[in-house]
Amino acid sequence: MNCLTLLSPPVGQVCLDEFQKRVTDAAQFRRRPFSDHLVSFCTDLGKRLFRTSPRGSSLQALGFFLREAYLSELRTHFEKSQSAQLCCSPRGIVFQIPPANVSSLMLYSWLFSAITGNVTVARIPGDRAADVERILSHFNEAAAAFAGDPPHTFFVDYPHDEEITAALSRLCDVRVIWGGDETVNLLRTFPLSPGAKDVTFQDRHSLAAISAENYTNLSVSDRDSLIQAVYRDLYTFDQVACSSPRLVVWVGSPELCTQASSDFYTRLATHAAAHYNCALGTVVSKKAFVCMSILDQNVQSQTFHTNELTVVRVDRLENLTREHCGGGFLFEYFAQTLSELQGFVSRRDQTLTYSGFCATEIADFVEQLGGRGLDRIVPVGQALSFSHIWDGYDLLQEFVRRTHVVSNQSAAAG
Amino acid sequence: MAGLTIVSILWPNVPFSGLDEVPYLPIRLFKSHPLRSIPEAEIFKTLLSSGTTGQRPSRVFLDRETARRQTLALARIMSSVLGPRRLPMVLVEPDLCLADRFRFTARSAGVLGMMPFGRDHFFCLDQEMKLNLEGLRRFLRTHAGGAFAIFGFTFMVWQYFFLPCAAAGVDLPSGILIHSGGWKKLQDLAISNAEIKRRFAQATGLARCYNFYGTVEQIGSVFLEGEDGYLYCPNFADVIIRDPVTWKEAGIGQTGVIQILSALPLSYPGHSILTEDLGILHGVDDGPCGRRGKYFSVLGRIPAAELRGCSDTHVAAA
Repeated sequence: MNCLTLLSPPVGQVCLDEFQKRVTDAAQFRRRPFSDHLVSFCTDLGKRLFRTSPRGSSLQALGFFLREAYLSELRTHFEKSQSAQLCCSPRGIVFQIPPANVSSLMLYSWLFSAITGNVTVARIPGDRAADVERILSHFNEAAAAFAGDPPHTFFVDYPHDEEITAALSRLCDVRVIWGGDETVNLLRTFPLSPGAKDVTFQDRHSLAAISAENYTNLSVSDRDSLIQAVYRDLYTFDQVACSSPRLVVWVGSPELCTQASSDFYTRLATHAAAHYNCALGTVVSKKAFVCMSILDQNVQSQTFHTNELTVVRVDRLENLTREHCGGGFLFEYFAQTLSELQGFVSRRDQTLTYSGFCATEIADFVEQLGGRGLDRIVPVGQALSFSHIWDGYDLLQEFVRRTHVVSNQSAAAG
Repeated sequence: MAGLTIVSILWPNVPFSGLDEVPYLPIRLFKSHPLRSIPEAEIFKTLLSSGTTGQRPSRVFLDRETARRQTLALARIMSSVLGPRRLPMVLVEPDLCLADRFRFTARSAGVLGMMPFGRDHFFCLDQEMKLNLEGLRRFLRTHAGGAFAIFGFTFMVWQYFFLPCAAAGVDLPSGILIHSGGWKKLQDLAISNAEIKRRFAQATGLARCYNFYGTVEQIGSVFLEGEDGYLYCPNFADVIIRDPVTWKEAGIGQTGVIQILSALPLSYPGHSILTEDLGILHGVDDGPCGRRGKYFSVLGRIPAAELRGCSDTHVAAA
């Protein structure tokens, strides 16, 4: 008998047949995208998370994300895509496989399918991080206390069971697979129904670009706030989040780059030593990875090294394999101009965090890239700021169907 | 010459004035890369570690001379507790002749490496790891009155030899037990080396019990336990315990990461290796059992860092 554990609503063990029935029943009751009930449930949940989570934690950030102002901004954005001719409605059942490394992503990912009125089924793996448990208990409390109709949500856990994965894949209208590549490839072996579609997130690599000249001109306090921003980008999820930079590109003359980077690393390492708890296992992994990167990625020198931060330099970007160990390890490259990155950037590159470049420089660079890579180009400090535009998708649009309505009148006019 | 590149990048300030300044390679590099200092044609033997499932094994490339030095060194070290003459030997292993002899795993290399120090070898386990009690009793009768050696991997010795011997009331007072390895499984059982010694003495009368610490990357120059329970450096090797914050040599009594140095390897860059084990140095030249040199204990493996990248979400769990 194939069984699942239903974590939310918290009913515990249910068999597959019964679960499928619950899901299809829920899908009968259609929700309107951005209905008042949906929005107010999300803001309720956001408030709970924000109030009860430690300051500066990723759960507090999640709570802040679910604030009313942001959701109404999303609603406005969403409504712009609608018109008398184009009516957006939920696709139906969304089956989500969120990643295990970034616990808050399960709720970011949930938000976009829920707020657009879908039934969300998300598989939450068994070895749950403490943050995942916290999210689940807040979610269940919010649902129990909610006066209206909360979004149809099923957070489930089930052991290795191909039959369940296959059944949920057949059942859903959209399947969301947060990578990496192996997970995506494996899940794709389970067919969807003919009308359904996959939204997939592959293995990604991210980088940062800093203008050396601009950095040199920053006041000490501006440097320190930049350091704090970079620290957040790098260390929040032990540098294993896809959008955490692994390569830092210093742009400017070699002299300026040398000067700026050494000041920067010293400050960053001091901040990391005070705030980041780098396990000894991580430190020895990085020691081994330095040697591996010398052998495999043609690293030329180790330019900075403490237990919390290791920096190695490459003088040719094309030698980088994008292999990485996380935990406070940066490749660095000195470039004369931002456009030197053009030849290097590929589809695997997701986020470029930048500091010290003006809007025109960034716009020119994006145009030069011509879509070869980089789905997000954001100021340093925002590497992990989740948005409905992610990995090249507009997630609000991925979960709705568009009905084209042509009136008599416009047909006559057309 | 991969090792040379690493050294010139990470240790640009040659020469070195003391052993603690000699560059070291992280032990994991022997798993990730084939590291050798000789042309392929001069490889005499390749050793593989018994790496846990899913892990790539270490590969150690030996030329004839390195293999010879390892044998000589091990003989010197073992004769310090076994005496100059070869003793009858019990091996806590299934018969090697029946196993695949062409696979040089760390286990079979360890057994083959120890066999020359004994004679009249008796493999006391069957292929299902069950103790051949009758055979053992016959061995003990044949060699009654004289000393004999027992060799095996710690976990196997405990699980498949000690426990059945104790249950069957086998007496082993003239046995000299030498055992090593199997850290992980032993940690799971939570049995200390001292406990193993105490239980052996109590249940079987075996009082001479020596653990040793060694790796496939430095086979030959192993660190053998003295009568006082501490591990001692042989003449061919040394140990440096490094402070995990400063990475400088740690003081006596301070826990740190174990670096092992050996004078034996010629064919691969294994003379200075940073292990992933934690240890503690107890003193130098003043060990209670009278042996000289540094003496130390191994505390176990550094807990693995669990940084989960996006690429290993839950592939196995679909």
